[in-house]
Amino acid sequence: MYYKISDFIEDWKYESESTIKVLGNLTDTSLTKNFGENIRTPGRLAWHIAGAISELGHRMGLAFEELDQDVPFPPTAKEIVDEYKLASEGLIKEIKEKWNDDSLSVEDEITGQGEKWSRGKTLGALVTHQIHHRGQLTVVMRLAGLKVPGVYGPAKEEWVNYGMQPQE
Amino acid sequence: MYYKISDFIEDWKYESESTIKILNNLTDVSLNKKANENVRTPGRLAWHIVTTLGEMAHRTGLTFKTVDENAPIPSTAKEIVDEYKRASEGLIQEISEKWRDETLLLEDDMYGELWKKGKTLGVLVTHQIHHRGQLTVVMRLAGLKVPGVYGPAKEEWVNYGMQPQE
Repeated sequence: MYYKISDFIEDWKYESESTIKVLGNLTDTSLTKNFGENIRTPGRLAWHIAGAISELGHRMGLAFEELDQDVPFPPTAKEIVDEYKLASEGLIKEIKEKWNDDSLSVEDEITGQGEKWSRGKTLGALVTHQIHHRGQLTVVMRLAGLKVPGVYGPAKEEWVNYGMQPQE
Repeated sequence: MYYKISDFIEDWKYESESTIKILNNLTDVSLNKKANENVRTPGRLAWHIVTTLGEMAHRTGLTFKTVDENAPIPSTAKEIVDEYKRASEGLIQEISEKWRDETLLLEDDMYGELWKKGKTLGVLVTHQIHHRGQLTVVMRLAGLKVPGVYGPAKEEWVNYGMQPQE
């Protein structure tokens, strides 16, 4: 639940930079690697993370360019990163231009179940939804043989930078 | 960043209930399933989620009882769920009793930086979401079902009369 635009922008900066670092390690061939019929591929997860920004953003009345996540994800990792950046920058730019702290208490119909969420709550959900699927993405990237950077602390290969043994 | 205890408690209720639903789907044999040398086992991830509650919250001066962060992974899923519930309830009870909204502005030394308690509670939530997301994948690899967290899981779309999302 956000009450201040500046708090959201601060959190989003950290979170989107982490997401871009993770997405930056994707390779084109990794995108379609399937590790189980009940597990999404790296490409599908990354595309869902990017697409959720305009999906939730538009339900709050924002109009930055839509990324339709129902279209198949692009064949290259670079396109996914570029689309993510475009959506993330579009979101922040439009919020800065059009909203103030009072806008965060305006309510929208978000879930399709008749439930109204304040914009402060929807922005919170945008952040937590991204963290959830980005966590999933880090695992399927590891399964694809890719490295992933740490998000809230060092990743396995990064402990050595702190003079420490990797955590189990 | 939390400014109101009631906001944290509302979020934590949703998040901890989601976590418990997922942990409840663990089986004892799944705990040690190693999918890959660079991927943590279900037991290791679940136990990291549990031990972080005390590890992080105790840095803010809270003293609720829970296991040490280096305690070995239990051999049964039930012990993991029980310890999660004990730590989560201890956290909420102590905060409800001892803290006011103004407390959230006080700072603690956290990993070499000064964080407001309201920030630490935010990180406690996001850190849990991150590793819980990872846990859902290794549970799928172990052949387990997982419930949806922010929307329907694969098997749950049918409850809404819809086809599973790709």
